[in-house]
Amino acid sequence: MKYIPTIGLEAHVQLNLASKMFSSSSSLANQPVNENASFVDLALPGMLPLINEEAIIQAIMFGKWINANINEMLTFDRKHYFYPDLPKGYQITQDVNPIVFDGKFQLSTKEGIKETSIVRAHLEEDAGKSTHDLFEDKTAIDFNRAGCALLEIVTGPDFTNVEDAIEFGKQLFQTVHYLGICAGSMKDGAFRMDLNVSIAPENSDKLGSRVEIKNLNSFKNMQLALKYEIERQQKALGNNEDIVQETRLFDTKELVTKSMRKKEDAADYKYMNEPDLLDQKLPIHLLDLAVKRLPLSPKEKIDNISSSFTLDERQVNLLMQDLPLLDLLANVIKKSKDKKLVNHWVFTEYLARINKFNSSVATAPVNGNHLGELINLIETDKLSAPSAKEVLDYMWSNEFKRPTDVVKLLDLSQVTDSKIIEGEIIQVIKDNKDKHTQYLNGMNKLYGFFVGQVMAKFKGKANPVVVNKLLKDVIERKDL
Amino acid sequence: MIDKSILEIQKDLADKKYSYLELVNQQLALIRQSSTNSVIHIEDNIIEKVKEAEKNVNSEAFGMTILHKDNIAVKDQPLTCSSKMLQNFISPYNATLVQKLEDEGAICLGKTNLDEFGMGSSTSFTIHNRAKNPWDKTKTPGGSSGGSAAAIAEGLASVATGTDTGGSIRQPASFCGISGLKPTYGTVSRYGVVAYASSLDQAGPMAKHVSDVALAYNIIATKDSNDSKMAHAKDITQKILQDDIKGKTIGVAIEWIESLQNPHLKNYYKEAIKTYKELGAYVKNIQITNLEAALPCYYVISAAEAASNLARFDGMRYGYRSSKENKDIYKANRSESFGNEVKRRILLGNFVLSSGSENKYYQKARKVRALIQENYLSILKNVDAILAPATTGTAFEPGTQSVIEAYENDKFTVGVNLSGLPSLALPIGFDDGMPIGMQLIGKHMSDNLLLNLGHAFQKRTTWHKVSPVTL
Repeated sequence: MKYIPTIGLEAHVQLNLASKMFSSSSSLANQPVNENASFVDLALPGMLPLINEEAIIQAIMFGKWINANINEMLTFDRKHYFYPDLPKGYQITQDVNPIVFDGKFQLSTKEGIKETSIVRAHLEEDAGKSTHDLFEDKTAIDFNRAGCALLEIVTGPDFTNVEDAIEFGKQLFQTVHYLGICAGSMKDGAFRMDLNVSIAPENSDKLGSRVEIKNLNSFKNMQLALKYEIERQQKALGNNEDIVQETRLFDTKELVTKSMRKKEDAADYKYMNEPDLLDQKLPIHLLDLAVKRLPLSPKEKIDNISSSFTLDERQVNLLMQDLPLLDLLANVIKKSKDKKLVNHWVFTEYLARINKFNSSVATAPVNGNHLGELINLIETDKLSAPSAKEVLDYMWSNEFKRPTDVVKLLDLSQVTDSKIIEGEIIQVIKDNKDKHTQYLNGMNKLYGFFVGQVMAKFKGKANPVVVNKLLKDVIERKDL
Repeated sequence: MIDKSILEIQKDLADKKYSYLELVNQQLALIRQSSTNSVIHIEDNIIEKVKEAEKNVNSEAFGMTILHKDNIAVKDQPLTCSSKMLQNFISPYNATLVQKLEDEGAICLGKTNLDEFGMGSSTSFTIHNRAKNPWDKTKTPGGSSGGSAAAIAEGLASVATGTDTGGSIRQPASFCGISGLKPTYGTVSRYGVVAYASSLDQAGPMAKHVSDVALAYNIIATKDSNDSKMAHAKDITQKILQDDIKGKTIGVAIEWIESLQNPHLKNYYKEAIKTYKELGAYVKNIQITNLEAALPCYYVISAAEAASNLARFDGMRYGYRSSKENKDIYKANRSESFGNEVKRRILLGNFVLSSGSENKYYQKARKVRALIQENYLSILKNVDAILAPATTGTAFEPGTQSVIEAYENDKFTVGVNLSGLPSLALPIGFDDGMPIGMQLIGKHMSDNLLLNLGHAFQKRTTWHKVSPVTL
């Protein structure tokens, strides 16, 4: 019998905020342990939550982007469970009134655009981070993440194959980065996925028992988990075993899914209206702000770029599929107007490094502003092309350094001052009188020798155009 | 000096009859002599704080000695909530209302006894010794703000703070013969007030004189960005208390008064009504329906929120830690440190929220709550305030009531909390040596009107000036 999988996805997106969802402590990642744990985050007695309005704005931006309904009410609920990294004994979330509901995500696939339904997207706070292997007999908890804002995005059970599900995950990741509402990577846990998988015989109108796989933190693992789980369920049904509704975890070492808890063991979350916050109408000024902050659509952005920049069809397709690359290009052309240079450095040099390190534009260590600045240095003759490559390589292995700083650091700035260059040329000719005489007597091929000597004097950092221009004149002088 | 209002004390201080420090020292001496277990902790570093306050003799609360209920955070002082769970917890910060009073020159003398986390009406559910009513020590001062009420009746401070979730300021005020305001929900910041039931909790001042209640209220009822449920930016504070109440309409909850078991009490309510007529108020009878619904509605909602609010007390980051380890640690920390009344409400709260029951209880109670509020608001369209008993009788002996009987005590007070309304309790007489109290219930944000009504009443009567002989 042929089985068809049905897959639904949930993404937990850490929003791009300076402070937490309900407290003013910093939400910066990679801080010293428990540095960002305030009295509110630690749930001291008498503490109250305060809504971070920027989180509301970013959630609405996502909702508007996928043409979803934006909830007229702004309310929160408490979801209860006991765990040491959940300080209040409940998580503040949106159960009754998700801020975003009923949206459509345009998924581009090889077979064309497929519309995926976004059932809801709601705001909630993250838990702290438990580490079980730091101490022999204790669990260590870092509360820096506790209270950070998450947007949980839930799709309908719309995927019938693994490829589309993975592609959705990738495109959703790109979208939240394109919107600027997520700045982190999957590796750092800023974008985590849960998978809901069931299988049913082809042409059956009933869905099979649903299995949830929690907390996937890479698309590779997501793919492996889905493939494994579908095969596991097929095998089980083939052996006339029942699939039980349960929650499973993907073991990243053994590459298998393992049962975490059965449905009957699931916690009763005892949802309750959050009485510490006002049930209110969504403030209209937040809606306005969100709409104002929406970026142009990729199509509009490409049209804008095309008005001053020639893109071929291959490049347009590439940009449509890789929104962070589109953003990068838009930022680059703000800094540099030289089409040929931009074309070469973005589509050749930059993408070559993306491929070489098997990374993506969204998570690459060099952003559009910095790449643009680098190209600008070449354009204004402050940096030679070979030196620029060296700078880019350095930037790639040292995150978010400005090119001008790297140029200084590596001592690569280009000499363009004609007085200085002319002085060195004269010196080189004087030092090589015999060769100069041979040149003047018609031995033209010696010209290259002089170029090399001059460049060597500048350790390769002299502007070759200026060197050429000056040398051509000076070398003809018979008085030297 | 213990019967003087703060305005009188301020005049004495200005005339240099005594210094602020002398006043404070005398109050501290009284606190040390007291045998009602009303004050459970005396504040450290008081002398420095008096010196600090003396730098600004014109601040509004200059000369105000104050005690804070021990579920309100005072920096570097214990915050036990009368629970073994927080027995050793020291607050690292000030509640907003504590800070505001301190900024205006009030001197905090210490913390007062309460029922654990505010749950109870006798101040006997406490890890400290049970508080006693200074009028008769065999009786309860009421609760949960019983320590504050008893301390004020004894004259240990000018003002004490209480919290009122279902009557916890008004019932003890009535039992101890003092005045106390349960403010409009959202006018006093809850920041630093340990939550029992967040949608019902409101802190407020208690004092002998309504004028002192008013002075304290108008300091604490100012905006605080730390509590997002504070009424939106509306400043309702009033600088000068009025005693002209001519033309105000008072609706009498006549059926509540008639329902009282003790016939002597009814006469005092009739006297109080007469006093208001003499003061020029219009008086008419009104009917408050759905009284029966208020109690169950209150106990469902308050228990649900209590179960949730107390979930943070797991002994992991602070609080009581059992010697048991590993898997049982949560259960052990909580079972060994919460008292029976708190456990009862946590269980009840979890039950009404549990999957399958929430529509029958919690969600239904939320709907009933809206109806109760609607009813109060429709009555208050036609009157400026409702005059009603605050309690079903005078103070009782602790331990003589069943759990259900104890819950029944709250039947006249919980409707106010469910509706978010303000209510002022004040003394109107004595029965068999024990104080009788009434409550005035007003529209949202009419706290100062209630205070004016109470102040006018106290200009005509002396019930609030009678003190128990305790020492």
